[in-house]
Amino acid sequence: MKNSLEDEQLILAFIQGDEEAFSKLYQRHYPFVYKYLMKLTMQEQRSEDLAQETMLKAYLKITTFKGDSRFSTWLISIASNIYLDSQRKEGKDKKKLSQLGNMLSRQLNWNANMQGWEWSDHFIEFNQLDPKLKLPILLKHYYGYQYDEIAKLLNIREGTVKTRVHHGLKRLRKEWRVDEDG
Amino acid sequence: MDKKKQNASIVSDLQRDWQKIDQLAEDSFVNEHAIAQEMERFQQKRKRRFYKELAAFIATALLLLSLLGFLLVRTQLFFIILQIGTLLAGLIILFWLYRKETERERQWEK
Repeated sequence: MKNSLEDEQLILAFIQGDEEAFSKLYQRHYPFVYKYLMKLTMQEQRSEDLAQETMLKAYLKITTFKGDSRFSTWLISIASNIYLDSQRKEGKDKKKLSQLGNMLSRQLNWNANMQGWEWSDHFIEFNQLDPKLKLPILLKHYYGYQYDEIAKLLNIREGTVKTRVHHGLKRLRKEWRVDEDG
Repeated sequence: MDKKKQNASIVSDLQRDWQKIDQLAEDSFVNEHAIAQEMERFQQKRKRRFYKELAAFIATALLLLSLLGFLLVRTQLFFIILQIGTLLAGLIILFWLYRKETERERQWEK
């Protein structure tokens, strides 16, 4: 709560011309945005670029922040749209992208191996899902947002969010069953 | 296994791995120097955006002025001259913005 109040004070100070206030917001929220994007892209460099783009958009559009949600929620909304836009743009060169994705995923795998971790099959399959299905599942089941909040965040209908979560999980169940049968 | 149990198992696996991602990304803190650089970039972007909006405003004002001039004078020739003038002014502004942008990109590439 205290953090949230401080965010509001910093936003107000920034709107009134205090550039240092946004530096503090950047320092506080960048890691959160970066981690969120990492879970979607699984690529360090790409997450960094998208997180920087998110912070830039927040900087330029800060006056449109109404304060009816937490600042971090607003940033998630911006980051999600930027991520979906980038997916759409890069979809034009899918082959190149998938090669790049594999390469960087290996880098992440290597980091995980250094810790002695392994990714679950469900997680690997989740990363191959359509971004439109991945987003609501992540927001619902990791960040704990409700369906109506996700709908507001992604600017889609609540029913669409429910359908996407349902279809996403259904697809993961199917893949899992096929793997087991195979 | 029923659907609910399968979903619960899937979600639990995903949550465990997302936590791992959070832990792997823990070291990705930003230092003050990097933030200062980013802030500088943001300020430049905001300035450029301001100039673009200003250019669009001037172009619109010129167009409206030319229309007003036409209505006031009602001279065809005057209208055409004003239209051509506005078009040229628009093109010059656009060319100027394009040159600034390419110069900036060249600087970034360096």
